[in-house]
Amino acid sequence: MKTILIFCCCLLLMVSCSEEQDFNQVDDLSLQPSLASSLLYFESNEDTMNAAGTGVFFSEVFTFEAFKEKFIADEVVEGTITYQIENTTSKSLGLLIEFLNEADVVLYQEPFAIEPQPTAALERQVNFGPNGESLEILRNTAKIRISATNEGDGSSQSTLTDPKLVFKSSATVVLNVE
Amino acid sequence: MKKINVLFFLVGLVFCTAQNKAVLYDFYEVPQALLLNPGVKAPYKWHAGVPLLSGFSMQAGTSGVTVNDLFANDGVDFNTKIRERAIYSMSQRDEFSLSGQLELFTVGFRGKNNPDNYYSFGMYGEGFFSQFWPQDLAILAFEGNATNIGRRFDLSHLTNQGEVVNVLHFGVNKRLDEDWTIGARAKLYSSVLEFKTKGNSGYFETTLGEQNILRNTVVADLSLETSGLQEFIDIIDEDSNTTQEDLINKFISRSLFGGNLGLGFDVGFTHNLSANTLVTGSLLDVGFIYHNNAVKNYSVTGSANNEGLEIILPEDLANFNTDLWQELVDDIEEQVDYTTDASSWVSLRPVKLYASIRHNFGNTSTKTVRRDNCGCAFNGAGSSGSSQNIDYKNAVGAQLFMINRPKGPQAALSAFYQKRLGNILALKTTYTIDKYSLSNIGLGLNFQAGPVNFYIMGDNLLGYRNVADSHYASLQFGFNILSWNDN
Repeated sequence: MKTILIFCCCLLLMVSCSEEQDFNQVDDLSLQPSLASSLLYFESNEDTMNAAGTGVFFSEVFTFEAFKEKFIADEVVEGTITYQIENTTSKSLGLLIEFLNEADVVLYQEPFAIEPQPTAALERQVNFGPNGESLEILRNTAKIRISATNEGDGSSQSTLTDPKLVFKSSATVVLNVE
Repeated sequence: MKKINVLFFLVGLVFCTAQNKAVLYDFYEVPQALLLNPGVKAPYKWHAGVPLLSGFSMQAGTSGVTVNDLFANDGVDFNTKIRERAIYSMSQRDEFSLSGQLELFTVGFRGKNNPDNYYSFGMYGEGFFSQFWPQDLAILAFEGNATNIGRRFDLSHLTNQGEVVNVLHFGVNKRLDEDWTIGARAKLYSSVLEFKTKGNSGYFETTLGEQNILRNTVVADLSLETSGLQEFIDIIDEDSNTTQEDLINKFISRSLFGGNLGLGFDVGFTHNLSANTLVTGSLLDVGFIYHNNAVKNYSVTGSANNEGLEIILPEDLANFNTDLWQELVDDIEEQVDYTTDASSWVSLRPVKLYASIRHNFGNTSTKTVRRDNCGCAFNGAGSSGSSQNIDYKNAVGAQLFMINRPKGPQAALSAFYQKRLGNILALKTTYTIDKYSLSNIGLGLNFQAGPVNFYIMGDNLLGYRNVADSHYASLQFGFNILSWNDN
């Protein structure tokens, strides 16, 4: 009897119950974090525009590989780029943002026509992904070209203190990590 | 409901707990109780553990989400379960931990010239892993920063620790008089591998920018110290035909004092307050390991903020740098310095403290036992003939356990009842409260068949009704050959 008791006790310890578990559920795990960061800040005072006169006063290409980072390029499912522009100069201005690939081929461009002051600040959002531009643009962007054009003259001067063109931008990307 | 055995559970469950062996403590029919209190009553003439089978224990615990919470086949979307039951339910105080111990050999014997002394020595290997839930980092990974403008993610939530260590020990248990038994054990540690990251500080934060739309700021003082780990990683990376063999050889070599060494000690006592009431206490693993072999440490320190690329005219008209992106990356790397080094370091052992008060009662020959209640009258003239010189029929009491952990001491409080059924069976049941469970009932059984001793113990038995939903589980068992008297 004592032996039976002993084995029963052992059995209680060695055998246990569990609800049915499905460890394959881990395959369904999907994280969708949204990452946000500023992209480019561009600023030019009115004196620089006047010194250059009518026409393009700045145009440069520079490297930009944020979207080519592997963890973004592989996982991005959606993106939004936000542009904010404020012009306190006396001039009509043009601004062109171009995304280029490694071979300097333009993948995407965003032109802005900016009225002289007084004018409201401009904000524009561009979507990439299912409801917007192709995500391949982001994945292949290696450089950005920014071109700023003085559509006015080379002598006018705003009456505001420190007149200038200010361009701000940020990007939000949604990743799908599985 | 599906039947699974405990072994499957222990292998499948990654999470384990606080190294509290409440059932074994002061269960002195089992020689392994000497490892929890070198000053425990030692009623043996000699004992020898069956090599590799004398002491096996594993403990697993989670103070937060359970396996069942996440993996139950309940039709709930797995991502919903992760979000609701882990990400937004757990805090940085929640911990997953796993510990295990395997005794390689153990021997004990009573001194011939001084029968009040009981000597024991042996070797065991043990491993431990603890991961605190990195709450803010988990939320950052799950949500990202875009929807958390102004929220500061605390990097100090990153805390984990793990080790595999082999321990050679020698202890002396001495009966001073009828009321006092004391003991001490010296330990030589051979660390196979160890890693720890704790005491980190810093944060990551996204705010509205001063110039541009957003500003990302990181302030970091993070470190990870490792020893031994890199050697195993290198072998795995080689991926040769002999990888498995190389791993085993490296493990054995580092186990047998080819790694990093350390010293430590245990002390303990048992004191009879009266004929049937006694108190015990022990302090274990007071020691250190000096890591100077196969050390690789990582650190990230500094602060940086970023508002994207910046072009300001007219300053940037001359000498415009077309490699703005690399310049930004270089600036950040310069401000937040990532370094590795091989500086030696010292790790303190996780000090453990046990204490108990116990009252024996029941129909036993207390007067006789009173004389021999240390269990040390073994010089061939034991007063109880073939009995085991055990001084109780029933016992009740309370136990306290404390351990020093990365985020401060943790404690567990147990009440216990212990009973002997003849000379064959002893039983101890415990009720323990700690951070893992408020309903932890443990049970231990000790069998004595002639000179063969077998014990098996488990904790949190109520959790075994649905073991996957349990916050805590432990199992220990072993075989010994021992002599109580003149066996």
